[in-house]
Amino acid sequence: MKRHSFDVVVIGSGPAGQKAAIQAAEAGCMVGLVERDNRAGGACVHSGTIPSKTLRENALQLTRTRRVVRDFNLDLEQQEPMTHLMSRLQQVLSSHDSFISDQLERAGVEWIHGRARFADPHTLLVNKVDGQTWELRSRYIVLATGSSPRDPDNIPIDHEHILDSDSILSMCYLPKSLVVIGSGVIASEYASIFAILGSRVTMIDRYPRPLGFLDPELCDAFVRNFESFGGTYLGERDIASMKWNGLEVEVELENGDTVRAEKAIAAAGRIANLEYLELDKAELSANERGLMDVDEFCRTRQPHIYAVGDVIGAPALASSSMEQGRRAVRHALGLPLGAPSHTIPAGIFTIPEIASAGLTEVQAREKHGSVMVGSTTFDEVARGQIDGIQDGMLKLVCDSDGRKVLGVQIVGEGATELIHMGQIAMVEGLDVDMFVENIFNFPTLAEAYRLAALDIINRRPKTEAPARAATA
Amino acid sequence: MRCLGAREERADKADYPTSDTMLESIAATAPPVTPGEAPDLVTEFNRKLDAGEIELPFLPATAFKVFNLANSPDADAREIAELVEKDQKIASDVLRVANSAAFSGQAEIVTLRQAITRLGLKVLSEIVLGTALKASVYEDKHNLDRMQLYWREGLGAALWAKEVARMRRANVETAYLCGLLHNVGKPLSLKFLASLNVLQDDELVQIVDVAAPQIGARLAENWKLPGPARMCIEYYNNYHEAPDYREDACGVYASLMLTRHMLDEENVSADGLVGDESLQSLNIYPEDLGKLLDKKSRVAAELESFS
Ligand SMILES: Cc1cc2nc3c(=O)[nH]c(=O)nc-3n(C[C@H](O)[C@H](O)[C@H](O)COP(=O)(O)OP(=O)(O)OC[C@H]3O[C@@H](n4cnc5c(N)ncnc54)[C@H](O)[C@@H]3O)c2cc1C
Repeated sequence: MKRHSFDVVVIGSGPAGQKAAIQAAEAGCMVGLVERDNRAGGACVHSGTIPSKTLRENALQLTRTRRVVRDFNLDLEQQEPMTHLMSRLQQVLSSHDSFISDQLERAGVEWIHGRARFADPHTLLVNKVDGQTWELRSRYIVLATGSSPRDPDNIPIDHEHILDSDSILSMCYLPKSLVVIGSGVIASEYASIFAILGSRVTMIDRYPRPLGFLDPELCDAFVRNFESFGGTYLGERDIASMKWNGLEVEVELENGDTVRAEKAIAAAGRIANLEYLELDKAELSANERGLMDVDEFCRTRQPHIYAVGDVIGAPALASSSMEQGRRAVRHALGLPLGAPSHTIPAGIFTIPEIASAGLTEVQAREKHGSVMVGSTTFDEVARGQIDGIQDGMLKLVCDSDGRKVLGVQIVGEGATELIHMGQIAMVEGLDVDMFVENIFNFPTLAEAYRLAALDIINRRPKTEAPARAATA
Repeated sequence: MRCLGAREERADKADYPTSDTMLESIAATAPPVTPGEAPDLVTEFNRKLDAGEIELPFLPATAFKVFNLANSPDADAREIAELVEKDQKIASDVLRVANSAAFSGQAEIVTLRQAITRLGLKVLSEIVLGTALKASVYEDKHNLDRMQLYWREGLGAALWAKEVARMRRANVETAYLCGLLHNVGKPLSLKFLASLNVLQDDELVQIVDVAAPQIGARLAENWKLPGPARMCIEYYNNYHEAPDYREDACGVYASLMLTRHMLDEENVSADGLVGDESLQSLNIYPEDLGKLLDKKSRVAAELESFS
């Protein structure tokens, strides 16, 4: 058995593990990065963020082309094989792959291909793909093993007809009809992508509305758009059974209804990848939700073992995972941490995009009592009209004086970029007036901030000094 | 998957000519060959083919149509049943396989509609393509054992490729097609060589192994097979060199190894598979291999039902 010693061993090369490993190496540590896959990047690169966003972008391009074709009376083949739609993916993935590998190599991180599990709190055993076992000892260990799609008992996922969010990317033609089980972010993203491509999509979940954690106006905009692409949302439904009957996928609902489709995708949550780690050997265990419990520094019960990224649960985003990885290692090594970022934006790449930062109107009212809310639609914004963005909206939530920004909610193409202006305003504790007092490029969607801010400023109590009264 | 090509003009012939009848005709004129001459043989094969002295076998259009239709969003059970019913040989083959141990339930399947309802379109289309391919390419009265082995390796690779694809979250339908077709060059090469009538068996096998990918590639081109299937035919035993679809080709090779293990455990042990490079390239760990091998008896039963 080969034996190695490290200062820091990181398990998992997704966004969380990469940043942890690079931070440790930059601090001069001997770092080993164990990854069971033969490529670096984790779910983010190979089955999550990047592939789904590439598919989305291609779907949008195709839809734009179809619109042009229709407007100009041209001819276009109806059914687009999925492989064409995923065409740019390989390119995007391989450049991302080599970027990550170069970065890790430059930092001097040792890449160890294999599956890691604990032998004791400071020792890991790594099963290699060729059947060998290596032993790694380390002062610090970072668990960044991510998550995988949940495999519910009543859904017989066969990766051929009933797929999950990993195997959906292997489809080689666009299904005529698709059932999407779930109403969270991944379910809603794929539902809207396939609907805009022309599949007849039915979303089924027990919640009354999809993306229920969002501001209701944003949910409404999502549902409106989804329905305009021919999609159907069946809320408050439980699944009794589901099967491939040889001809199609058949979903029996508790209420006796049956929904049939050519393919189905189960996007009913994710589970942390902890099953292989033999946590008990490190005197650790998962909590009742199957996640690792950690403190504010991402430290587990064992002070030298940290857990970061999807294994610790919400927000379970690539962006937050990276920061957790970096901070965990800085904490372990006693390096200055800087202020933690409490304002993490959520970007949802449905069609149209949705983004949110800080508090929603409902949350702000619960927390602060009264609040002031300003909003604008994108058709009031020159850029929105030029780009033909329909159903776009930006909503600013401020304190009761109409000054401090407490939250920003946006729906419409460009939302996931636009959110960052609002985020910075919140992080810096800026007044909403700054959106009016500063000059932004014209015509851009940033104008939406200005209009929503004016909506608030103009509704402030009339004691306002004349100099501050604002006009569009 | 939907772009499989077919030779429409032969569509409604129920009795397909097989490649042996075509290749037999050149036996008299072909020069003798010796081992190690596989590249020359490929050249000779191509020359004769281009000169129209030999013909490639064809698949009945029904088989392609059924496979394409069942694997497309336009799948329509009635239309497929009608297509299959029109081709007596395919229809009887389908019923035979559908009633074999791996597929049938307790009650006998007597009609095609019943077969579709019981087995589903996908399974039916796989049976149709499989039986048609066997009849068209793998039947040869001179080399029964070897042809049978090639057929079993092709079908076995198809069945295993589905399981490997499922495990890797790759496309299961494409994997089946790639596995099924990967070695079509072998029966063709064997018939071409056997028709020259000069070699001992072992020598013949070596030459067939070397020549098959390129000869198969001509067939793939002629049948207008989709990209992954073409690459798997040409590169399955040299997947590192595949310009495209390298993982599909590697998957087919790994599936062939699993098939060989299933057919001949004594010579291809499970331990031996652990060290197999193709399985390692696909990131299949020993414990994953164990999970795959748990399906061995099911895959074996399916294989037997076609044989
Ligand atoms: C469809 C989809 C779309 C998404 N879209 C977005 C988005 O738009 N924006 C966003 O911010 N986030 C998005 N996410 C979420 C994001 O991908 C995850 O939050 C992020 O990848 C988590 O990073 P991680 O490093 O914790 O884990 P992962 O990226 O899951 O990486 C974990 C790694 O650990 C490895 N591993 C696991 N167990 C072991 C072991 N025992 N030994 C060795 N290696 C092991 C795995 O192979 C994997 O490579 C999306 C996710 C999905 C599924």
